[in-house]
Amino acid sequence: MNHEHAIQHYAELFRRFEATLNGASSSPIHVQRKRAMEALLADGFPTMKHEDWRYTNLKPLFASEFFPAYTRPIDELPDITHACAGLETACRLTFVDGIFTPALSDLLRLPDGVFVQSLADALQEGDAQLDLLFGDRLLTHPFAALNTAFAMEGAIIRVEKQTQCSMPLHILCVTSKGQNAVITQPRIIIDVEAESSLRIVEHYTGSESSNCFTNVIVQGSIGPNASLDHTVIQDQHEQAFHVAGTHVRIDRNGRYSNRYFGLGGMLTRNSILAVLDSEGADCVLDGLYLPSGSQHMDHFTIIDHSSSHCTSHEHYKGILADKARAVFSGRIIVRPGAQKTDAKQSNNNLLLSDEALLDTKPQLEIYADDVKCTHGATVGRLDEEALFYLRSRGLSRAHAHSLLSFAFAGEVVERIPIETLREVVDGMIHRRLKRTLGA
Amino acid sequence: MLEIRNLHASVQGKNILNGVNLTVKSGEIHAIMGPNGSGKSTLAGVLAGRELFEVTEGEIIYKGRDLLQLEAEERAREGLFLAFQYPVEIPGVSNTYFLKTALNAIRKYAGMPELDAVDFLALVKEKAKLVEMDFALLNRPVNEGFSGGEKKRNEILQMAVLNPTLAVLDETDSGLDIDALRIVANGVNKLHTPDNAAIVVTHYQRLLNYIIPDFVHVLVDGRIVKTGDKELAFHLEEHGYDWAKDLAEPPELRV
Repeated sequence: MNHEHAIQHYAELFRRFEATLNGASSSPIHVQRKRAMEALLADGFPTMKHEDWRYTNLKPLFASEFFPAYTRPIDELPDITHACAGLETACRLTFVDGIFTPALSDLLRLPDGVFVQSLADALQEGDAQLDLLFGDRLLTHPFAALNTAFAMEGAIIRVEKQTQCSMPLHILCVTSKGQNAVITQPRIIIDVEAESSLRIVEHYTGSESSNCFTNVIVQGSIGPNASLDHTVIQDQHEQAFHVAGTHVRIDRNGRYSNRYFGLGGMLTRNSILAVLDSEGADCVLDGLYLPSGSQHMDHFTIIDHSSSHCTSHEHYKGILADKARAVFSGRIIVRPGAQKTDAKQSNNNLLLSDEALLDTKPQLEIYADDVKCTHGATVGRLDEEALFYLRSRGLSRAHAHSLLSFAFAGEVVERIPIETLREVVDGMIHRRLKRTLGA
Repeated sequence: MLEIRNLHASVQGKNILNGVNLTVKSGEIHAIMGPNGSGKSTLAGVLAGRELFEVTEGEIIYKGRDLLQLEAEERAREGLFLAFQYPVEIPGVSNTYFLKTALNAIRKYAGMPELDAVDFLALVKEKAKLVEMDFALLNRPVNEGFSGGEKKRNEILQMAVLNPTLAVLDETDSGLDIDALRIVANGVNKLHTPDNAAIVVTHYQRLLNYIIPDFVHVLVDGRIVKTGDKELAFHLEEHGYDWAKDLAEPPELRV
């Protein structure tokens, strides 16, 4: 299958979907879906000729036809104990093969002022707000259109103004055994109202080696003086395809922190768009990617300074082994009038093998004259002198490699504010690097 | 304990050591002195297993084994320790974690049980007193942001914790003020026993006011041209190295 076939496949799936609607095809939300599908048909899926996709070939993704999972795997619920490590006491929304699974979720202990509803339920009830969100103009790229056309599952999370939710909300997406060629398209909508705060952990996992395709959209709105802390753990099995789009608008003095841990998947595209919409908005994007084998991980971020006195800090780090490939594209736009912008970006990479390949592309577009914008990228190997120092103290070469790589990764892990989760992620990274380096 | 026979070594094709002979026995302290570029640090590096240096001739027997066949980490586990002239900063790895990992790697090799966190901390605190090191530095990343003196003290702390059989101190005195020099030397002296040995590489005599060597060797152009007792160091201090350079044989002429 190629790009064209893939489009036809999704067009056919859409026709089948419409056939089940029974007269609901004129509902406002379906109008949005249709519009998205038309845009996708017109634009097609991106090829490497498209500037934003220059380093990522989607061919492997289009090699198989994916279908949504229609049946709930009620007979055999996956064991999620392991996936909940470090978040045992969190509130939880669990999706199995993209379908909300109340039996594995826990929303009873949500604090007052925090409302969580499954998207399927919200769609059932009909919600004018939802119609607007599905038509959000920020969502222009083809995979967002694909999600808009099909998304039936996901969550709507709202934190009422002046509500501090310190209990993390764990959004867990697992793929179950025996499902093959499943596409899941969660849509997660988060609204943190004025002077409120929320922590979420978006987590993808699944140890079974069935191929699946996750195409998720997260839409966030952060009100004045509100904050959203967002940790993403992408730990899917090695056959998985993962395309994620996170779109966040940050209001006056609001704060958004996103830290992304890329571990799993055969082909991953993680894109983030953060719009600093009003004065004093602040955005922190941290990332750590550890591709090995023949994994491909693409990170595409846009920070849009559309107002003055906003700050952004972006720091992505990567450790590449074997024949892995990774991409970092960091675009920072400073709009006219966005004076006193303070934007910092850095991307540091370690290549552990001669065959690993990294493309890093900072893009600063500055249309204001009183701003502070810095960026820097490094690609290197472990410091030979440091390796020798460790070995001269009795550590094996492999141990020295893993210790230095782990130290390199540690900077991002340290920023996880949930201590129990930090330890778990620390362990995950440790095991991964040990495995990669054979230490 | 250590026997170096006719050691020749080069760096990127350039000959640095041109036939070094040296025998070190348990309980001895040897000082190796010499002008800049005479090959002092190369000798220290070859002993520790630095891959930059290529040994082109000769052999080194350490505790009855062919040292040159051992990897750097194997040498360390066999009790050889190099105190670096320029200790390396390792961001993201705490000093205690590093020391504990190193100690346990060596203990494991020796068939001893690994030390747990509590026992290790007790040990490291005791040893830190020996080099008058601020405990706060123990939890900082290895050497990161340390002053020159703190870095050298950290080297001696590592030496104290790892308890080597043969310690090679590569210009440990360089860049130290007189107080730091005294502290570092004091540490080395306290660690010295009849069962271990030390090779102190230095440019200046002043370190030898604090560490009294049994032998002083003068290294010029990659050869030991003179061996004596500590009086030789005073002589060097007074008269410089020029006279010793005359003792060195001219390099072989190539036709």
